Amino acid sequence: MTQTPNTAARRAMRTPGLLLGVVLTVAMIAAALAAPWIAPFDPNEQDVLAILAAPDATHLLGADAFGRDVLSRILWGARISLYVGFLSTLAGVVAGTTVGVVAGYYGGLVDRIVVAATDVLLSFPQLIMGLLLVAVLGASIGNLVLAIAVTAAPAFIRMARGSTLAMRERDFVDACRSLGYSDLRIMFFHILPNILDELVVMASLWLASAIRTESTLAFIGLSVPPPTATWGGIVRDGFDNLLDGPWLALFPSLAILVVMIGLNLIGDGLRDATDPKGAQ
Amino acid sequence: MSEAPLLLVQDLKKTFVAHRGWPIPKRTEVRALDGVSFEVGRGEVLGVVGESGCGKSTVARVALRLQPSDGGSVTFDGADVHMASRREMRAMRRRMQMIFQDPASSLDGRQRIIDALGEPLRVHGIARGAAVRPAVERLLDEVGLPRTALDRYPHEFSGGQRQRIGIARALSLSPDLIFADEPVSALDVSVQAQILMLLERLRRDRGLAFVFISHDLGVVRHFCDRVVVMYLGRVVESGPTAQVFAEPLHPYTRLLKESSPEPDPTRTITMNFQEGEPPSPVSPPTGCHFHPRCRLATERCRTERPALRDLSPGRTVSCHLA
Repeated sequence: MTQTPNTAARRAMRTPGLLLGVVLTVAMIAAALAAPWIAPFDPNEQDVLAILAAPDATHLLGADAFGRDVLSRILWGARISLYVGFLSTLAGVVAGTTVGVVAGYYGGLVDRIVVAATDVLLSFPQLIMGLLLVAVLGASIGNLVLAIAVTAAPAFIRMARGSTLAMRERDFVDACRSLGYSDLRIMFFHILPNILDELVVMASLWLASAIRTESTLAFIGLSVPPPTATWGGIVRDGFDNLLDGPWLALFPSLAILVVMIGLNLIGDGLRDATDPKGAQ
Repeated sequence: MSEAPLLLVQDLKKTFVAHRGWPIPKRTEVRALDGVSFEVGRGEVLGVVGESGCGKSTVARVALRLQPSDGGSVTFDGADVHMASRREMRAMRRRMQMIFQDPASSLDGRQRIIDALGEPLRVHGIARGAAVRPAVERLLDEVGLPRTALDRYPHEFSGGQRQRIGIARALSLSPDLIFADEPVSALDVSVQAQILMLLERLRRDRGLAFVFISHDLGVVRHFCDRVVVMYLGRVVESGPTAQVFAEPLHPYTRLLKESSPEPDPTRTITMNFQEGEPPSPVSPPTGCHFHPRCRLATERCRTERPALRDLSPGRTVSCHLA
């Protein structure tokens, strides 16, 4: 049974996991946006007296080997990590969905080429793929977004194509064609809204994955060059002094963890809320 | 018929090809349409009857160019449908519409009724902006739905109401011809009658021509001027409905007639045909497709395909023995 967005939204409100996920994620985004005002220090300001300072009243989460305030770095780092995560997922979803819907709608040779290319791309592990691209293109925010988007796109191509194939069998697509609608109108005004549910669910899970990939790339030094703070980079810096100051790696890792939990809760919650079988 | 027909279908062919199997795919062909010809006059209702799988739905889809043809031609009001350019096709689409069997699947579940019925008007520039809503309200009035339906979604309606929405959508572009593909067979019997009465009224009021595809002979008898009987992708008989059912010429039509008797308790029914499903269209019998089920079949029927020939004015049959 098809359902209106309203009933799905109402069901979503009753899912406590989804609500918690939204709270966690929104809180992290708000903190990232507000970093210039709420961060107690400049993230790159080095204070010789505070080198490897343990968490105290001045440096709430301690300071690193250069005397930089860890809390401020995490807040500023969130801006880069979340920005890269959101932008790359968005790019991957938009590009992947477009290609997938077009391939599924037209079928034929285009479809077979797209499927073959997708299979090749999917056979690379996401991290290896991102690593390869960043290594070739060079480390910058733009290339990072591109690399992660390329790793995300094939999954969305595959999903959008499959759903489009299923939708194309429905009579309303034939009805649209007999009414003289253009292919573009049918694909993006009729098929896309009907497959959007699944795409949004998957996008929220991929968002988590994109942020994790960025952190991993940063950890092995393939993200934005230092001293700019990103979560993965802060963890890596902290690793050098893991015994002298375990908080250096712990707190940025916790930040990553919180966002992962938040986004996964959102994804799972949305899936339950949009699943017709879950309807009461 | 003196004047040119509104729709002329000539020797239409459609073959579906499937490649199945690994590592060497096996090619299977299904001849859904194997040289189908018929015509529909202005304001005329043509019934297309036959068992499931005989290609009657494919006729509609190919005639409307929802699927490409593999041969033959479809001529609508003098213009070839399958040769039409994109622009000509758009103009032609306004004049030929379709009503689907399953009203649940034929409506976009994400569209409110106002959008589902308003979109064709906007796309074809029939109504814009504030003029859309009153135009859609008139359509709802015409098919007997309350105006409050406008802002609701398809799933909020019953099957019969949804079929009315589908009919309103087909009417939105003021077509001359409507293909109705089993428009009532998914509905309850009581609702069927209402929808048929609606179609009857629309036909009268708007002078619409219909291609009415159905397996329900009772409905066809009631609604259609002329009837085309199909069997495994071929036309076996056509003619005025009353004549065809009063005096069927093809053995298959006789079988159909006997299996759907007019309710009359004073008459005894004799079923003197072999039981059985129609053969698979993947490997149809040679010669006359019907010969394995026909008790009159001769050697000629098994080898030679019977041509569709005129027997008397308006009546054609494809049988060696008729």
